[in-house]
Amino acid sequence: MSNIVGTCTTKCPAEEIKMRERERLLHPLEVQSSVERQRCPKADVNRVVKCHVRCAAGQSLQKPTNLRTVPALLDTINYLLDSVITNTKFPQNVIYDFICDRLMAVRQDVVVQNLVSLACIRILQSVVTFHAYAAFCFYKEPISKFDPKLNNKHLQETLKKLLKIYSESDAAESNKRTSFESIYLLHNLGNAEAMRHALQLPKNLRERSELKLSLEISLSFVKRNYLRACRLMEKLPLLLEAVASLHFPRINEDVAIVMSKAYRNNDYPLNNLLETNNLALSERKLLRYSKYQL
Amino acid sequence: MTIMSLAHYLQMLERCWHQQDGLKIAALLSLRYDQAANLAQENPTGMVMRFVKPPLDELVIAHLKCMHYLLMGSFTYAYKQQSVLVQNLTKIIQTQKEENWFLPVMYTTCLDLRILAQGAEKEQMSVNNKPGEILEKAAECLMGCFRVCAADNRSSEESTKRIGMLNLVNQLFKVYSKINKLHLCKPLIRAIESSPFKESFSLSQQITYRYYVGRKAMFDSDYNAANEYLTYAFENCHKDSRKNKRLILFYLVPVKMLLGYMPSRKVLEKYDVQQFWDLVQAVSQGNLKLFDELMEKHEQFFIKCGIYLIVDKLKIIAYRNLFRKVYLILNTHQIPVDALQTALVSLGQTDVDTDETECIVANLIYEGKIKGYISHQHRKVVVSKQNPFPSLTSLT
Repeated sequence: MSNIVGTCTTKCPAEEIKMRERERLLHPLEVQSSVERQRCPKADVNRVVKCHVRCAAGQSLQKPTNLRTVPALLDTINYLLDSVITNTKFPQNVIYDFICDRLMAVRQDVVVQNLVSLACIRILQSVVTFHAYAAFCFYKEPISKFDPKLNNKHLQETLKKLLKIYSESDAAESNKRTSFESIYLLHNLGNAEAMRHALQLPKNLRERSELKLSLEISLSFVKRNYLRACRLMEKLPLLLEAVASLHFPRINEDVAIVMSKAYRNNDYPLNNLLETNNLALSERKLLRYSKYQL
Repeated sequence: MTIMSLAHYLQMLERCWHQQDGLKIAALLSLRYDQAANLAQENPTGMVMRFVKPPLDELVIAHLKCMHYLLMGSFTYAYKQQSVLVQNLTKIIQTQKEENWFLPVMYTTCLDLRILAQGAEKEQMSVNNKPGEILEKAAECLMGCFRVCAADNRSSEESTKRIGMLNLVNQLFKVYSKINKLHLCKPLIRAIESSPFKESFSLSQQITYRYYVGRKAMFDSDYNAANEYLTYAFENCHKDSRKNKRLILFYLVPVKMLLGYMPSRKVLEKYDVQQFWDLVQAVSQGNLKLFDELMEKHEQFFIKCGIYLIVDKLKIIAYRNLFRKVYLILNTHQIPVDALQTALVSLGQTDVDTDETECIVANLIYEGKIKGYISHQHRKVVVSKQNPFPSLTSLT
């Protein structure tokens, strides 16, 4: 089976621009700023980005003119994660939804064309980073604005795809590979499958500090040595710590259950315990991260 | 033994087909048939068509070609022919209603398919860009057969092809565990567990099945189920199949240890798995230093077998045994946390402080491995006056 090769060199295929102008399906982030308020706003060709559509009957996703080339995809990624993300005119959740949808379309193009190149690794790494940060930054948002479940699904899917490409291509970019292998491990903290995957990696990768640390955290978590797990988390690089810290509510709950059984005479108030164990997902910590927001 | 002519061989096949002698056909179409090498042909079509009638002819042609490529030393080409053979076989068994005499042929050819696929996979390792691709294709082929067998629910009990399911499932287990896709076994397990023939499959197949299911249960951290399945496999496995018994023990020993049963040195030596003896000692003595050293020394072996995670968990048992020693030495029901920490540090756990020590103890209490409670205020572990360290086997 030969792969389909895309020919579209812009962020959005011309056909789609026309269709969405006609059907008034342009996102406010995509229209020309001068004509925003008109009934049928025109698309700003520099800002319009191919949106995600589901595979459905009668719809061909395989038209080469509608599939972006690798440079165009990189261009799209850079535009979304450099320019759009810093846009302050719109609420954060609108920006998130927009980027999330457009990144899905990017992934779709990657999958349809069966790309496995280095560029593809770069693309997927960016997508993973985005979802990992989003999971942390919007942790406290209400469900109406941010759905952690969906975000996690995107994160997990992209991670798995990325890991598969790593294992199939040569160990190029392996420097970053350890980071993303670690994200997978920490995102799936304590998951046997994830740990087995990490254990089967070549030794030179496994010996790198981030991955080694992440594996030890996961192993400590499984052995219910929560204190050790949390202490080790603090040694992680920022992005990884953010991913790991999302497990705090779960850890807190487990700790509370264990402690309630082990400390019978109530001389160990729960708050105190959480503090000494450094488990509280403290506001302080959140604040520290939010400075690095996306 | 004299060399058999091709014509004679083909006549034999045709005769067996009419006599519905599945076993004989299976033997004739096996790669291990002693005359197979003499019969290999690159272009057997004309000759086969003269002697063998459809639908068997397609199988024979593919088999002779397969043998030819195998003699030429190419697993890849041989595998392709075998895959054609199995696909044709799938069609044949699909058309055979109310009869299952052809199943032995399916067993043999599917077994050969898997072995050839493994060979082809190795051969392609250097060339191929996607590892596991060939085995995955082979699994699809096997699934084709499996579907036909599983769907045969209208035939009577004696002639149903559903009895062939377990054999295929075991082949699929082997393929999936090679390509790390054990999660795909789940629907297969469900199909077997809900089958009314669950008990009537042959013992050898049952043993293989339980070995794989037990292993999977271990991977999924369901240790009681793993213990049950693997114990059945070990106890029923023929005493001369030492290699298989040894394989089972790789998993059964750590599972048993985690459940509190320590194997004797004699057993480990009998089955040549002494690697575990040091581990048994480290765990039962609570010698954490030795434990850490062993984890490092045998790391590759543990990872290769897929038991690294469960062995790592044995550390909890080692903690329990160490703390028990401290308790016996101090001979008091109020053990200072400091004393436990000192013990940990002296055994190489140098970065453990009193808080972490408490955390470890708390977990042991939670799991019921220590009876008692922690007094954080006094930094003491107060253990029960009666049986503070209940035997591990009494816990589950």
